[in-house]
Amino acid sequence: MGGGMLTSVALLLAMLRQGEPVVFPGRFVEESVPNATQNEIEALVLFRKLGPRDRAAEELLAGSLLGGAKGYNHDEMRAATVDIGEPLRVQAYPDCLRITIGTASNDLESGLEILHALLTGADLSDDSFAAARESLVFQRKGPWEQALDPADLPFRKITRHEMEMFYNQNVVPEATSIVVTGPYSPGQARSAWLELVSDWQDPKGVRMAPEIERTTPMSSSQGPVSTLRLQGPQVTGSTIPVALLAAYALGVGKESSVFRILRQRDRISYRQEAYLQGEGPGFCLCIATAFLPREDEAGLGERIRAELVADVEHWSDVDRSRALALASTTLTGWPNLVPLNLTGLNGPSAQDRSFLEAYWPMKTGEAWNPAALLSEMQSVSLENLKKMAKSALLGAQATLVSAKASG
Amino acid sequence: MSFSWLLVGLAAVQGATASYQTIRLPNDAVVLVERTPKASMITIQLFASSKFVPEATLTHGYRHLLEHLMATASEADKELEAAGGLMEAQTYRDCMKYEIIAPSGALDAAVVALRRIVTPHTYGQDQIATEVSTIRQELALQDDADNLANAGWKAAYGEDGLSPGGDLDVMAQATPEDIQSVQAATFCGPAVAVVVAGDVDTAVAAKLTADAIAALPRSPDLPESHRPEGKPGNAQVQASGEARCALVGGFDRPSCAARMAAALALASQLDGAFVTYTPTLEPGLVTLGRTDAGSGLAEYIDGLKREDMEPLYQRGIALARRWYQIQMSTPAAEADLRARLLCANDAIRPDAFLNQLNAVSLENFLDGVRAFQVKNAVTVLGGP
Repeated sequence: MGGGMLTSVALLLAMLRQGEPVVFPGRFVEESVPNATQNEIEALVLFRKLGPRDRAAEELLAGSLLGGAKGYNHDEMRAATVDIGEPLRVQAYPDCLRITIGTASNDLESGLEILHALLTGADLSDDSFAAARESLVFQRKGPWEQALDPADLPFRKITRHEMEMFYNQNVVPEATSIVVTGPYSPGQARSAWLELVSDWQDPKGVRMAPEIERTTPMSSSQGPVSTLRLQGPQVTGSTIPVALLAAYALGVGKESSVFRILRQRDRISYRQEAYLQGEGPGFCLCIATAFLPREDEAGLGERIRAELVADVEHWSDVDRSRALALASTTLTGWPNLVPLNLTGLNGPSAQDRSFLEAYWPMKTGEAWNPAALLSEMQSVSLENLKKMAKSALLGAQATLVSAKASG
Repeated sequence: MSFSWLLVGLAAVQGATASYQTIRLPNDAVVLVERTPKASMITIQLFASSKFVPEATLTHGYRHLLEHLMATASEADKELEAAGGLMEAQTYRDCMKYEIIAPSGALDAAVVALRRIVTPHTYGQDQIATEVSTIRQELALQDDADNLANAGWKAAYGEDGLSPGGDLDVMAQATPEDIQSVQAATFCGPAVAVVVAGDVDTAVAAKLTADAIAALPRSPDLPESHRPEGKPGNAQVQASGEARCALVGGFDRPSCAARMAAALALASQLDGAFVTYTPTLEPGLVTLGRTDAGSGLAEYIDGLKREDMEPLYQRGIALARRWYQIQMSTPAAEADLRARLLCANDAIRPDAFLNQLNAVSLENFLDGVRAFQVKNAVTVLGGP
């Protein structure tokens, strides 16, 4: 270790002692939990709005990362976490990359070292890239996965070099948010992380312009069902709580608009949901449904749009209250039932809460504080709620992926 | 309605963490209330065993149909959702589940929903047709992992392994009388267990819950059915990927713990692999699969020698222990597992699995791995 690094670490630690803000330009939150049985690290890298090549590169990256990184080969990286019963996971979301690491209670450092290695020194070898590409090219999406994300991503067209460029330009400290929970001493995680990342620089000046190519939907369904998604315009900032409340009213529970209309009244589908889809710096309010092929499916998007808009017109305080009640329940106790399209949230677990604590501030600039978010939602009037829902529906782009062509 | 309770157990953990109260009702239904201080939610898990009415070719899917009809007829959602609660239902091979969640303090609303669910209704032929049409849409949403596992069950257990989703043609022929018979055999005291978890007064919650299900009939005068042992075999199914399924005894049996440890250890060696196991006291199946084409799963498993398997032993045990911890990590998850076991046999506790896992030796583990090899397992191949 050179003298310069020693100096910078000492400086960082001194600043920490003085209560200065963390120098790491991303977010790093430590939650020391004395009775936790192991350490859990939730990290994400948030992306700007991604085009189809970027998204393909992101998915390939998620599949390639576990191939090895700075000092850890594939087996070592796996063994460091899986041997305590918590497999290392890397998941690609449309707006971020999520990394979940668990380590033994007395070995926080190796978890942070693996995270650091993944973020700053991934091998991205030809072999791991080829394996990830083969898996993605031949992967068949499940019917509901297809409904939520009907994008046709060009995995075959992405080279390993392009994936590496994506990694170098997007996996940067400013875009990273980390929450570490475990039975460590207060300050231990933060100082260990600061020591690790003192030389991690954002490669300023080499960022490529955002991709302008538009994402195209799959040409035909990969399974027996057709899928339809209505994706509303992007919302950001103070309108996010309004959109979230609208998602509850439109699509959570059996008294929601989509359940009453699509399932109970029109008998179109078994499953139908409304949710916020993370995209770029904000979210889009979406409706998704999946159904057996129908003769009239080409016009179904417009029909559903019109029917839902008409239903929203009739929303009353009962609908608003129901949405708020469900928001209250799920935001505090059941993150997996919050209408955010974040697959992999499995229930009211500490892991899911940690992920939301890492994710939400990067998207909104506000801490993940269910009580505060609920308070904002409570201040949304019925009129504004209806206005948001109608605006999302009327401005939504409909994407139908038909199973008729695929037989 | 009120009645006399028969307390069969007041188990222990009084004080800071949790307290339990178990009641066997005069109709032989079991209620277990677990107090989890400071929990923000209440969960009620209603489980009804299929031990008096197992799936059979001629009635394949009647239980699933009943689940839909009961959920719709109960009209439990309006009040429950207004109180911030939700209700979900699911049919498994060995039981049917209704899960109610509600905010802490909304116990009354949750119990009202429970009472509505178990209140018998009569169903018309038009309602049956409507729900069959909904189930048709539901079954179309099954993914490759579901399809691989279902094919494995059928190969291993034949008629005793029929999928809980059902056969649409059979369901379409169901009459209201058929469904009523299934309801009587499913929602009878000896087949029902309800577990309540949350920051509740255990005595109050137990009384409310017991009252809600007190009117369920006693035994339906039908013999209890148990699944016989399965056998290795082969299956092909329209799906992407492949799977190996190991035959296991019930959740409390040594083979279950050893084979779960083996499955999870093997999956940790195969990127993108999935493991499926539904806890049951009947003989079951642990499915290890991959849904990408050309996954190499079979070659990997069949090529394993003792020296390849031994290093996976500790990992498998750790992963299985973690799997168990996750099943017990939240009040709702723990309540699910407790109720699932209680509705079949009120003497079996979830920690039976952990006790068996703690006793898994290296040799047991190696046998567990071999249970996934071609001679011992069910091999499922996906195809077009």
